[in-house]
Amino acid sequence: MSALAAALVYVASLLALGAAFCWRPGTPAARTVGRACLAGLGGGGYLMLLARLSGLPTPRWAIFAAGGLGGLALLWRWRRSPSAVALPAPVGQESLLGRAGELTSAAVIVGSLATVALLALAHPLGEWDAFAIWSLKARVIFEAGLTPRPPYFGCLPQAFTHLDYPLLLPALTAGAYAAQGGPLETGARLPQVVAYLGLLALLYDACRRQVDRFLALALVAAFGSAPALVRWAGTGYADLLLGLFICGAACALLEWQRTCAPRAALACGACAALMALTKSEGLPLAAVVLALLGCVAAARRERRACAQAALAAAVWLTMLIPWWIWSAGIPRVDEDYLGRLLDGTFWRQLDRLSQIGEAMLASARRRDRWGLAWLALALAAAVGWRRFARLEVLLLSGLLLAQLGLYAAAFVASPWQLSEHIAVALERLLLQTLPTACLLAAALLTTPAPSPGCESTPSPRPA
Amino acid sequence: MADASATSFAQQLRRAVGWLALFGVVLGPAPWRTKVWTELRTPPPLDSTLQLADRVTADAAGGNILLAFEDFRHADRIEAALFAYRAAFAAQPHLVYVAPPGVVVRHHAQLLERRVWQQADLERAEIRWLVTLRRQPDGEFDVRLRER
Repeated sequence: MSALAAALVYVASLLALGAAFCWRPGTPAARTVGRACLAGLGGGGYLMLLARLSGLPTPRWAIFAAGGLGGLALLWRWRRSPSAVALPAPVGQESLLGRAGELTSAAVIVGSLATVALLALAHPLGEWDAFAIWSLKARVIFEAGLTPRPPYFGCLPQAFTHLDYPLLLPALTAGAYAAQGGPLETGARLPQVVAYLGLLALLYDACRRQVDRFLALALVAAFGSAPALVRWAGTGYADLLLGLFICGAACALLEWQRTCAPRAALACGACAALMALTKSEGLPLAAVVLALLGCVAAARRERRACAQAALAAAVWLTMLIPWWIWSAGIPRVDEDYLGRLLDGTFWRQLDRLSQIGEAMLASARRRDRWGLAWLALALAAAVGWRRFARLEVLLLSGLLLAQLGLYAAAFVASPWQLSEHIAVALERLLLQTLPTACLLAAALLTTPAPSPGCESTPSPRPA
Repeated sequence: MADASATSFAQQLRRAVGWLALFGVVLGPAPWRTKVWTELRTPPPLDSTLQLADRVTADAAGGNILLAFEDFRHADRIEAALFAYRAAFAAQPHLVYVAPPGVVVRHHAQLLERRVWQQADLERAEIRWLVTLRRQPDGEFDVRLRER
């Protein structure tokens, strides 16, 4: 089996596991694809990380066997499900212009996906952090496992930066190495293509709940095909994967706010844990997501909602405990943000805020990085300002502001020279906010459809 | 009637935002007109670089390497990264340095410093081998390996 074929079987195994876990009869295709990618990468990556933390190997046969079992389970569930009644396709609802817009949007999305796939598969690993941090950790996991802890994680003079970074992405990459039979770069970034596909599908499904098909496709094309996102998606960095989990957590939060279904609360807690296991900034962001979940539960004033929010937090905590135990004591070589907050450095450097704000605004205005995505969000806010009274818009606005505030705080506390840190990191941090921004734009552009308990109409302003 | 008209106008307004966002991608700096596509169209000679890295790391087994590119160009950045990546995989994962002379680089062991390598850096990092690469007119690298 060639390396690329083995990598394809590997991601197919992950997808089969994810689909077997989350598929429901009658679910729209985009939702199924998005959730299968999310659950496959998140669940599969977490299981492989857990196995390595426990000292268990993850050989190729085990990964493929798990994927095969996932496929059989999916087939069994599909055959046992009642056959869905085919609904007639809506005819004549969209004008010719609207149809052209849909096709153009779809073409842009497919083109972006193809570009990301080319970047991941045909372009060698060439970004510093991609090989010096993420792929090297994957290599260490592949060669030495995680238990007992390899000397790599404790030897400061020989260490690349960020020994303490979470290991979900390296575990996924190490799984690709195992599937290929060696640390080959050929298909090692294929999971990132799947992550991009999953992000687009999740965004489309979430937008489609709010707006018509043209608008949903146009928003996904604008935000999901932003040059900055396409540029970084296949390069081996962890920002795309974190964006996928942020998107998953936000979608689960919105679903739970709408339905109060326990499954949505559990998914929110799991996605929050995966965020924390993907990148360091995922931990405070996960806390924000859980805090928003708690706010919704408190606003509902129902014992059931509070219990579900507590359950989500318990899932989050349970998933993180093995990682926290294993990673305790790993030296922080640099960028110890919590330490710099506690020792007062953060407050001494607070005057950096104006420069950071200016840099964020300047970056958002760059059309070669973001197209008109941020302008579209601003216009959506202007057009749909009445929607700010809706709970889901408030939740998404809160999450977006918390993300931007957290990144600004990181720059304030940074040990780097500020302009240099902004130059190398701001674009990748801002791209993590694209999924939230896209969901927010859709929520702002939604056609009003009041539903009990979720909607409220703003009271008219006095003249 | 007025309500229906207002609703229709609001709907048109919402769709106009969608069109604007779409135009931003189609007519603006879409991915295929940016750096992504430019880099894809000029891929570095992957195989030869990897073979080169294997040969150099085999020759310099057992010691830290400083890799230096003469007449460093932006396109060499990818090769430098590739080289270090491959060498890290082939030999000692933590002890390969890439230093295009005159170009500010990251020395990973020194708290995120980005600077030009000096003699003191070589001593501190216990560099044993200096590898100099000069790109020839045919695109291949002329490699010189020198023990310090």
